[in-house]
Amino acid sequence: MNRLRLNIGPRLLLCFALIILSMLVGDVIVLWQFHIVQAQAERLNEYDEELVTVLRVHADLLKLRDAVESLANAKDAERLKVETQSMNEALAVDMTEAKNALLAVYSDNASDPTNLPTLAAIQSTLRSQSASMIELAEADDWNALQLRLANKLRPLEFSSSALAERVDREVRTEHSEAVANIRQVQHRLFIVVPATVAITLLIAGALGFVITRSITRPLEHLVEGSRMLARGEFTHRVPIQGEDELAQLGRVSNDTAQRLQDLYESLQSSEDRLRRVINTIPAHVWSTLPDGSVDFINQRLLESTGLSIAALLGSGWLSIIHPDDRTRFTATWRSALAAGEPAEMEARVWTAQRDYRSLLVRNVPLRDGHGEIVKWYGTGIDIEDRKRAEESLRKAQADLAHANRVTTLGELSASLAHEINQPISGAITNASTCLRRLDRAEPDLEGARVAASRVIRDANRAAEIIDRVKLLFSKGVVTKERLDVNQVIREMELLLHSEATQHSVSVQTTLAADLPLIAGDRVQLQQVLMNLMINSIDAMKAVDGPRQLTLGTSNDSGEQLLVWVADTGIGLPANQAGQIFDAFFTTKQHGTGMGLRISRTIIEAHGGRLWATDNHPRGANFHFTLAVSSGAGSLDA
Amino acid sequence: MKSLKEQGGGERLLLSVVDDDESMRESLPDLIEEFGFAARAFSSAEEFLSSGSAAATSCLILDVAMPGMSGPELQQELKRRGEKIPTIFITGQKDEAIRARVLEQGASGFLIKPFSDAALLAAIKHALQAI
Repeated sequence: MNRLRLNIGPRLLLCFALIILSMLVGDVIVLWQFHIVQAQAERLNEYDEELVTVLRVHADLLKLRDAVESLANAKDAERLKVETQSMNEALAVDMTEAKNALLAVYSDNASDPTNLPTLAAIQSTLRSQSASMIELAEADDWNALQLRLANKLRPLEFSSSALAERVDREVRTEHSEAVANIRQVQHRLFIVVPATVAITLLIAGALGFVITRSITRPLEHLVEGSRMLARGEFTHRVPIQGEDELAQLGRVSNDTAQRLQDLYESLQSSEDRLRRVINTIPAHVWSTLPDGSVDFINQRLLESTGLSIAALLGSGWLSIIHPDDRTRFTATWRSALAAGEPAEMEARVWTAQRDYRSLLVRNVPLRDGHGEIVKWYGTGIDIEDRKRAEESLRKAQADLAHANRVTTLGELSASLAHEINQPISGAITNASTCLRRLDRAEPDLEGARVAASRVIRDANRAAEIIDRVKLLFSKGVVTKERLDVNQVIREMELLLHSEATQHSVSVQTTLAADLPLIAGDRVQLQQVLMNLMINSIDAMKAVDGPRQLTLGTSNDSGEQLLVWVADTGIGLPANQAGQIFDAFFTTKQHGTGMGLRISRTIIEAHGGRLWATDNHPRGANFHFTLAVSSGAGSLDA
Repeated sequence: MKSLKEQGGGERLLLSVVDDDESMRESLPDLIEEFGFAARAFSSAEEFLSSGSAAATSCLILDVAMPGMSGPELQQELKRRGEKIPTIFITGQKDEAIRARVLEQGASGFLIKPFSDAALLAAIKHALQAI
């Protein structure tokens, strides 16, 4: 278990060290055994040396005795002296070597302790006897010398011989012991070497197995863990043991898995949230491939149509578009697809309640990093209620405008009657003239014809006024036509002529020539002019001095006409100029406060703006703009 | 006209019509000439005053409501200038207050449009008698 705490590197090093150590132990044992054998051999050498030196001493002794004996027989005292001395010296040298050899052997207790004293005794005896014999020879006492040879040197020979035999015996004993020892070593080596090899192999094998297992098992776990991760099973964890590199790797792997699991879970929950949002938001949502075929539809759209997703995918959605809208819708969608531009369109779409509802459809492209469209995303918002509300609002506004016209015309009834009365009076006068010209004794037929044609013209004028008034009373739908604004102004000028005259208001017009046509509703524009002109006339009723009503048009910008109605009346109410267009705001005693409000609504519906400024030096100036009709065929139905 | 000359044996009397309404300015002078008078038409009080015809006018046929100076204002102005022209007011609107006021100020007639040729002739004759 301790081993497992080590890192793999140290673990392998330890393993190799143990193997090398076990091999070293084996080697040391073998070397030790060789050392024992060598020691035995050296010891045998020493014993052999001892034997040789002892034998050499013995030989020297025998040689001396033989030389002394032969020289004594020859009675050559001189030579005896020389020979004896030289031989004694040689013997002393050998004796020293023998002593050293004996001392070397003596250090271990195997040899006989009497050998050395014996050798010393032989040497001293020989030295003294040699001196005695030289003296006897010099004294020519040869008999005594012979006697000494026999009595004193012979025992030395025996003693030397005995020593040699003893040493020889020791050497032999040592030999047999050494052989026994070497044989023992041989036996031991036969056991130790294979045992060492076997143990080393065993240790190496066991360590190898254990260490390999300690590496391969975590590796297998890691490989398995990686496979699980690759398969997306982020809950799997690698079992961890110890603290080594693989354990760290395993921890990293587990951390990674945990993080991936967290990420996957948060991704899943955010995807769930997104899906809930997409399915819950009060809008139809879909996506399409770059070619426009639908590949996703949200729950709300499916519930709204009551159809299966399979019925709507691809181009199946086309079946839920109102047949009258299909061609226009697909044309718009195809041109958006071709241009790669966001598209907005309206269509009536079939619902599960078995009716069609208007949707506002928007599609936007999603582009990749290279600007290529990879998807289209679209929403459909139910605008049916809004459309109906707008329709009711339009109707209400039209009703209100009508009510305003009727009220205003009611107030104008006296003036209008007067206005109609004028041509009728003219007609009656002309008719009288005509009759008188015919009644002459000599009828003035030419004059009568002129008068009669004036009757027709006056009657037509009256009928025309009645038509215009009737038109203003009408409650028709708003119809836009191409209009000459100057013409509309002139008509209103005529219609309100009596009203202006009655209040001593002079009406002037400064109408721009070559005014472009506008697209608008004649009745509504007349109503605006009528409201503004009556306001101006009312504003001038109470003022002294010139009462001037000016109607003007201009076309400076080219895209919009400017129309103004200026007066020299009491002017805009001080501090309340901003409120005059508010509903129910009035400065008149019997006003409804709706005239300007309705006028502004009408002008804005014509793409214009209505506002008021002060007129110089006195009075108010109302201006409004109207969008110029872009072309003959561009009018809305 | 010739008949009037023959009848009157002298210069025809001049009647001036002041009315902002074109159809009246066209039709009235013709009818007046049928009666045997000379006639001139003016579209406004200012035009009549500046024309210098006041002195020659025997009878003025004057519209009540006109832009700028109104009929009664012109009557006052002529009075102020010392011009005593018999005046017949004509109007499209029946307004008793104005009628009473202008008659009080010396008008000789007050006709409501439309009026008959007989009514006009009677009013003219009545006005001319005042001279």
